[in-house]
Amino acid sequence: MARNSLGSRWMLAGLLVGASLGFMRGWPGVAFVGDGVAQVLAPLSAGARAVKERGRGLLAAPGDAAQLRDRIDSLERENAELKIANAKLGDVTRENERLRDLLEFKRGRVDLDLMGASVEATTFAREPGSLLHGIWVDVGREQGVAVDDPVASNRGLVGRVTRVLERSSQVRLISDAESSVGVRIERSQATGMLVGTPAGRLLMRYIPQNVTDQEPQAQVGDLVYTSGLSGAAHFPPMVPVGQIVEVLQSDERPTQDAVVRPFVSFADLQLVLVITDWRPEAGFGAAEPSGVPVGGDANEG
Amino acid sequence: MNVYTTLLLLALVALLQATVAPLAGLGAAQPELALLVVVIWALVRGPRQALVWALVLGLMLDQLSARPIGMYSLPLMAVALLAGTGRSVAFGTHLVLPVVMTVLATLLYGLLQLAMLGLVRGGTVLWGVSDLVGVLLPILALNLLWLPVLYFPLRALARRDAGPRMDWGRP
Repeated sequence: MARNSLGSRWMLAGLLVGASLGFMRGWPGVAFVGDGVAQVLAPLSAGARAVKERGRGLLAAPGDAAQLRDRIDSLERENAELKIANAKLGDVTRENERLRDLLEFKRGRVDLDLMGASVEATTFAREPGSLLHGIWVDVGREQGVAVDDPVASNRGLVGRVTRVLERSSQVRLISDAESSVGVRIERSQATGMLVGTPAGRLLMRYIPQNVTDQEPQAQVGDLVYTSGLSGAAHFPPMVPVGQIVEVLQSDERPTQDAVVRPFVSFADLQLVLVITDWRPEAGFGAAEPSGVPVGGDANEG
Repeated sequence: MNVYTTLLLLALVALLQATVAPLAGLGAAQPELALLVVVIWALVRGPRQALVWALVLGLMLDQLSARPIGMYSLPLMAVALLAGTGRSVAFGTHLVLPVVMTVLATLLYGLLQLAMLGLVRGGTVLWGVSDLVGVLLPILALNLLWLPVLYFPLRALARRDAGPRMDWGRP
């Protein structure tokens, strides 16, 4: 009986202390003490937690490391594959753009499409010297390419075929010193002969001299197209060639010259069109450009 | 070096000239690897071997070109003779000699090709001094840049190929 009364006393005391503490929780003094204890214990607690985590990590390390290594390997493989796919996509996109450009050029020249096939060719080698300008293309007799076929790109005239093998052909660029093309200035309709130089410059020769009180025959900025005229008329008319960047005029000569910047960048030619089956219409090829003097030294290239 | 190895080497040079050299070009100019090989071989092995190399390499280049045969081989043979003569006049081991010979050979090669081009065309192919300077100077600069790249391997090849040297022996 006495032991029971002692236990109930202790229980009563505990309840009273608990109630008092609960009642005093809002008091500032008690809160201050609580904060102090928390601040002292916080670093210790954090340290203990870190040690515990580290310990757990060390225990789990061998398994996790193997997994991570596998994961890294797999990600690296994935990354490499993505890089390759990206590079391929870039190539395909660029090729697509080039083909679209070529297609646009072909659509713009319905006359050439109607008369024959245009063969797309990839250039793969160049003339093995700096002073001569030519390229090889990977289409030849098998594809219907013939000597003298004109070659163009979506930007403009490139040259003409000079040698044909079974599956490849050689093209002489219009910038070559042996090349000459009958051309016309779009604005004034003045004709002349475009010749190449060893340095790869294009020179339009035999432009008629200016007539007083009339617009000049050639001006900087004038666009130059093929005329379809010249000794053997190797090139169809109205194919863009370039733009005049300098006029070389001399009063001592009956004609004037002009330096032409080509539309085609010959250094990075990749895709070209070989215009097969193109032959000059009747009447073309008989006439020389208006400015060409009789007995001039402009040979057909 | 036996005939087959030599032919293989020269074919490789011709292919590099037609495919890789244009990529290393400067505007219209490109390094003349074939010319450099002939000059270097003339300096390290004498004009006789270089003349054969020039003929074979030149004919290979002629095949890669749509020009009349001789457009590359004749100027290259002239270059071999020039460089070989230079070797016999000056001492071939001096490092300045390849540089001087490259300059002279580039000018000779370019001028001969222009002259032949003029003959084929039936008139001049130059429309002013600026054309000449504009085309030959970049080629010269590129050739001088490429000279050490080809000179040391070819010299090593020539020395290896020459066999053991004669010496006085140990006393």
